[in-house]
Amino acid sequence: MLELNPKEVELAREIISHGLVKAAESLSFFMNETITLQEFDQEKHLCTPPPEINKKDQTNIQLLITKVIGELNGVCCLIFSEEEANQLRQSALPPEILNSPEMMAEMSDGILLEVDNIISASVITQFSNILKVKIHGGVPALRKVNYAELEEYIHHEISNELYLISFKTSFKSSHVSFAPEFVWLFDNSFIQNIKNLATKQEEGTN
Amino acid sequence: MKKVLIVDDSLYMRTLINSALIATGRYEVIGQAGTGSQGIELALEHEPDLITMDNILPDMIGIDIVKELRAEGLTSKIIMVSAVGQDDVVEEGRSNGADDYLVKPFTAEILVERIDNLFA
Repeated sequence: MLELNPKEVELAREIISHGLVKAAESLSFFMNETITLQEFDQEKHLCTPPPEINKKDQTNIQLLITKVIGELNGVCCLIFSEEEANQLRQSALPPEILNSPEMMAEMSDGILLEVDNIISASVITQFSNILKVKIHGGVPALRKVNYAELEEYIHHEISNELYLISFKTSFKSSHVSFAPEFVWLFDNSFIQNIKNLATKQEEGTN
Repeated sequence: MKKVLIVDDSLYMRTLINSALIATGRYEVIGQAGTGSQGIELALEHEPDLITMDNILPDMIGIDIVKELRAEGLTSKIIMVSAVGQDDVVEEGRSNGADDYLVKPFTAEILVERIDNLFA
């Protein structure tokens, strides 16, 4: 496995933070309020998997999955509790949909999928622009799982896809009960691209 | 009234675009497609004044659809509406026949403003 030196870890932290800030901006759009991020600590979060998810007491967890396709191989998981998902629906959907049981039946999952699509793309766009790699997100998928199933999914992805690097953040809002989590898993290609960029930057300064 | 075709796999996004355009009184949505192949079929059948085109569809990439429609001689205005916002992808969309490229998320006001500009 490739390892990052301290300078490369700092560069990775900057790139990841930049991407996640864009994700928070996109989520703010749907929540109609400023959403911020839990402070990103590379010692805790830029590490080999698996990251710990803070939803152990939840049963109907809404797990949104988007594969990263192209020159980086990875996956991101946007994780809402049932209550957080309902808060998002209430903020993002217009009254004519919220007040129509028929439309809500159609849109209830659709809005989560679209939010995931946009939030993951916000991050992927930043990674693509900064690392100069051609990547995009696949069509998102939604699974409703309990905590054990969530853990099993992440472990399965890590072992099957050989993901070696993970990072996780939580979004924060003024509502104490709204703190969705955002997990990213990448294989060696991410590390290699960080190393390539660090080398280019070093050559540029010499 | 300008005739509009919406191509997007997200029902939420199709509803948002539809509502924003109808509210202006200047646009009539003549069709909605959730896949690329359905979008091509409706575009060639109706030859709308405007197409809003998502970039990542279950069966096709939006930029490839734009290329195909332009190769068929379709002159409709096309605005790409996508969460994919990389600089090179936006440029690729424009250089392959899209008249504009709007990155999600956006407000209804921004969408209408950008579409109005295409007909100004």
